[in-house]
Amino acid sequence: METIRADDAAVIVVGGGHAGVEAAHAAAKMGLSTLLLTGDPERICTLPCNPSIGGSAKGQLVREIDALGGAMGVLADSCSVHARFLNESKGPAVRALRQLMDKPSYNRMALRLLRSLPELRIEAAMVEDLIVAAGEVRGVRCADGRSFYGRRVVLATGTFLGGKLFRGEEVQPGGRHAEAPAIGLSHALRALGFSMQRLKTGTPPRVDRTSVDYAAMRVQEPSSTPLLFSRRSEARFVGEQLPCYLIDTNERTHALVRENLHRSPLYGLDLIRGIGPRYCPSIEDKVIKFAHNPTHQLFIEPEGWEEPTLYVGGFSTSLPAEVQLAMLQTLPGMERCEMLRAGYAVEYDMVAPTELDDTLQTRRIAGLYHCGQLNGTSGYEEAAAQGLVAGANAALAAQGREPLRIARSEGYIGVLVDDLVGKGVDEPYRMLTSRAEHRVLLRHDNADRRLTPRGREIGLVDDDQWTGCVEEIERLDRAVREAERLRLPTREIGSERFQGPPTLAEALRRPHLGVEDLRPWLPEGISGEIAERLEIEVKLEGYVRREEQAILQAARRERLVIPADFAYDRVGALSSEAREKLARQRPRTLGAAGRIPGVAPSDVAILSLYLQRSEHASPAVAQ
Amino acid sequence: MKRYATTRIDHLQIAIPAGGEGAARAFYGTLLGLRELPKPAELAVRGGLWFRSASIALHLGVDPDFRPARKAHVALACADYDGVLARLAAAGVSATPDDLPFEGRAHGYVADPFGNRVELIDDTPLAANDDAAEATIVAVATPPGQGAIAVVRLSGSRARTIALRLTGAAALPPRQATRVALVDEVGRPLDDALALYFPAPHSATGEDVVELHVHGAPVLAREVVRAAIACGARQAGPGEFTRRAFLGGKLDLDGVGAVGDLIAAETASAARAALANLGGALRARVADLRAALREPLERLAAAIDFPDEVEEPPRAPLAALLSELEDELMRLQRDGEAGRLLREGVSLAIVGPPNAGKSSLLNALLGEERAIVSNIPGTTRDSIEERFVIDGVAVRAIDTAGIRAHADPLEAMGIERSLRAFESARVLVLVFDASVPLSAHAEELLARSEGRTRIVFFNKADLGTSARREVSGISLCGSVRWPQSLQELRAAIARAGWGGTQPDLERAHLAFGEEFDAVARALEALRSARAALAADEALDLVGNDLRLIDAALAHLSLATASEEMLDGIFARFCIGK
Repeated sequence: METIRADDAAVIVVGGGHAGVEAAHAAAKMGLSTLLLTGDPERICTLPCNPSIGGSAKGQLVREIDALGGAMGVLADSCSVHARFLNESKGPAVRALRQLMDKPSYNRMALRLLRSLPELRIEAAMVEDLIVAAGEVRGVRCADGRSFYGRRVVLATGTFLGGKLFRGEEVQPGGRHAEAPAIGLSHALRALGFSMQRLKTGTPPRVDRTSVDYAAMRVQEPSSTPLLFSRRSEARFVGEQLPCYLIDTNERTHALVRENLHRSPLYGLDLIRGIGPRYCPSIEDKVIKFAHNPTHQLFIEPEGWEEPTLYVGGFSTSLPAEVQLAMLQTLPGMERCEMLRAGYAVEYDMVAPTELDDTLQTRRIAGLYHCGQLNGTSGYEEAAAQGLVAGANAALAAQGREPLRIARSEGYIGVLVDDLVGKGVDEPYRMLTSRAEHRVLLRHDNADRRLTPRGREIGLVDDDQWTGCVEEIERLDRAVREAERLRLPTREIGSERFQGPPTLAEALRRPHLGVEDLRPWLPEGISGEIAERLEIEVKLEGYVRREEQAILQAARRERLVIPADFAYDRVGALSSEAREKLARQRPRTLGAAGRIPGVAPSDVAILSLYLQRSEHASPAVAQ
Repeated sequence: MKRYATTRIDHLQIAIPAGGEGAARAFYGTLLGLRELPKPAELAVRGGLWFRSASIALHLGVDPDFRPARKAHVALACADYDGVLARLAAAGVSATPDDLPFEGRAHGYVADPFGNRVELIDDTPLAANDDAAEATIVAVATPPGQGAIAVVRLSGSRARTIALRLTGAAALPPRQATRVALVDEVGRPLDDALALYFPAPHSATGEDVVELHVHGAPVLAREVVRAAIACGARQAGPGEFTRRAFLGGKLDLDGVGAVGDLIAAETASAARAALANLGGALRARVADLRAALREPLERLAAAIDFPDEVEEPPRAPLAALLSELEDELMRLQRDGEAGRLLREGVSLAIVGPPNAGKSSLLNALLGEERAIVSNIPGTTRDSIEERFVIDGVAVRAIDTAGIRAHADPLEAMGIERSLRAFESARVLVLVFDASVPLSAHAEELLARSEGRTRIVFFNKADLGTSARREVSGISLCGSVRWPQSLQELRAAIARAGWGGTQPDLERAHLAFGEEFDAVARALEALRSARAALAADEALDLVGNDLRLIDAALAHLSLATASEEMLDGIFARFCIGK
């Protein structure tokens, strides 16, 4: 038994991807001495897969991270080569920003931000083992023999745990392109009794940007005005804005896939056991599972201003490199392309997130937090969001303060954490708007209203951000009040007719009218972003009120606590699947019980009956 | 309602001396049976212990200046009071029982190892409660009425023993009809019957069940029940079989509603309607409705989450689908209302001036139907309510007891009470004497009932029809003595009460209040969705309504929504970059 010396840091973060960076940033910004351990500090946040940040639901996550005082929004804004709003016509609640990054800048900006935090130290180290004493984590051991001590350890190891890369017949250990995996840590977690699963993901090939003919592609132009995730960012383009391109696969591409399927580690070779994401299928999957589709759309995206590579979105593959090149050369405009790096599949270990409580701390080992792909998610934004929650909670625990818990009705982050720890995952988890039942409330435009006070409370939102937020909300509230009062001197606006002169708010409630149409009458102080936010708040008011009522109704269930020692096996009426899952996961409330997959509403009704019975002795049954 | 800022006690903390954890663990944990909870790491360093079991949260904190609390104390309710006392005694800890019971329960005091007073209260469940869970229950299981066969059902651990005693049989082979000679508790013969024994758990309630099929005279079935009670069974409360079946995992909620209806069903069609739902017809129907919604819902969700890859669903077919759905839901609602009528009956008030023939009319209507309807103890036979059946629908004639007892109810009972019946009835029958001019009273009734669902019957047409005239609503002329007139009246009541044609309740319909609520919610969201579509609102807002519709329907069909939908999306669309 080794002697444990004094703590090296209050919070130790293992891993330098989006989750690790966000965790370390949060803990250090909250004033805790923080140590970030990563294989190569020069390679933090290298964006190893696609160059994009944001998108549907993911954009909301980035906004929320920013509202809480996190790093991702500011970093993305400072590296954006292309920005566009998605779902503009589909409704304000699902409007989402997506940017493409200059990858080298992102890595540089992230490193610069971390180095600006006085409480943060970064060390190059591969962590091999955890130091655990009496059920509590006390530090980590590294491959080079060093140990670091601390009572809060955040694991953010991405795809590195037991990582294996596949391309055709080649199989090699690796966390991602040209980086070694973490084998020891995977064994250590297993030895501690954690339930592990194996997942798979993949990345497409990259081609030389000078070797393609853009004229044969459909162009997708970036926004002509700067679009930003963070209100803290300056509204300007940080550099030249680059277009993206769309192309389609064809029968020749598909034929190559089919002809070479025997060389696919997923199909013919049957080497990959991990489960891949359905929303990010390989081109092999697309061709086989959607054989009736004559073409599949691909997205040709730049990876930066100076980067020589283009990312071929939608073309993730693990076929042999020469097959990949042949396939690429069947595509329009790519007939003579050069492939700079082949795609590959990666299989890695994850720890079941049902091992975690709702602060992302493991139930098994006190002080140990898991976040990011280690929890079975995919995506930079999902990883960063969890990193922030884990890092902040590690810091709060070190300070002896209440943890940060975000409700499902407060943020996509809340949905993410609740889904993970409540339901677990059986494929890489991606955030989708359809996972958020309260999405009318969880909008891009109101993330600050929802979460900045929470970020301020925990000490993650600095004075500048806080003052800015308070002023903005005050301006907005004033605008809303004004809109209800101000009567427009007309009864006709565009094609809309009114009985009498409408108030500004009444006019805005008409689906075909927006602030743009009312510009001549807008009072001073209602312009720019405030005007946009005003429009959304007024238009959605009815929907929001209805949603809030539903939340209030559901709150009863959320509050009904199930005794920790509740004997599920005595409730014969529960389905056996529900009984087994409830007994294993022991949800804290009836609401959480209802969200466990396999637990049907009828099971919840039965449970509710039993809970009421034990409270009042007389069983109340609907007759 | 008044709201309190503080709502309940979260935990209690008592003090122990430093180093007292071991002794405390032995006393509170081992002897009192509280479960120790590991303290959070950051608090564990301060020492002390946390205990929790059921609703008790007791924290023991280390007080360096410890002094025992001899008066202030924690009172713990013990499910096994005697057992706890015995365990304490065996460990050499003496408890001091208090002879005065506390709120009717035994209690006593004991000192913990440090001298803190702890009160123990007997919280052993009362025998009656115990009984409620364990007793063997008995009741007539067939709807009240004169069917050819009545079924007496026993359920519980003693069902078989009691049945053996009542049948004198040596054995009851499981799941076979055995012909038996029923006797009562002292051996007097009751009836020839069939006995069926269903051993647990493969029975309707999941417990041992015996069914005795006896001949259909209500008095006989009641006698069998009485004998079973004399042998140790307990009369089942309303819905108790269903509750046991439900908790035993034998019925879903849809089924529970249907069984409740079946028990209450007074008429054949209500029984048929209840049976249709028992078969899960409602769930099947709702599943169909949800299936129709799924495609647009998935397409919409996919279009939002994968905007570059999936197109928005076109609006026109969506609007058409919603309009179809609305029709369907409204039909469900209408059928449900009709079902309500079947179960609860249609209320009818017969009013008119003295001597117009109200009593004769009621007697004539009751006439041949009475045998089917009342007179069965246990069914409601309110003194102010008579029932008869038209085309299988129960009609409740309100305030008729008075009408029958008094020649002139409006005078005898006072205008107030009659008016109440008049105001609340779904259908009014105004009876006038057609052979003499209408009295002021009659005129007033006509004026007062204007706009209501009413049937105006000009009676005594055999004596003259001079008073007959055109009135709004259904108007008939004839005599309660003419069978033709009675037939016309029945048809008119059916038409006014439930639209004449009887609803087909063998198809799915709503039965529960909750189901009505769910459909009402679905319809509200549906109308909001249609309005949003018509106003060209953003599709996400329409989608929000669609999800609410789906959630309301899911509530009806008791299946989970969201995961299903995601599976659907990935099966339908090829998505992913």
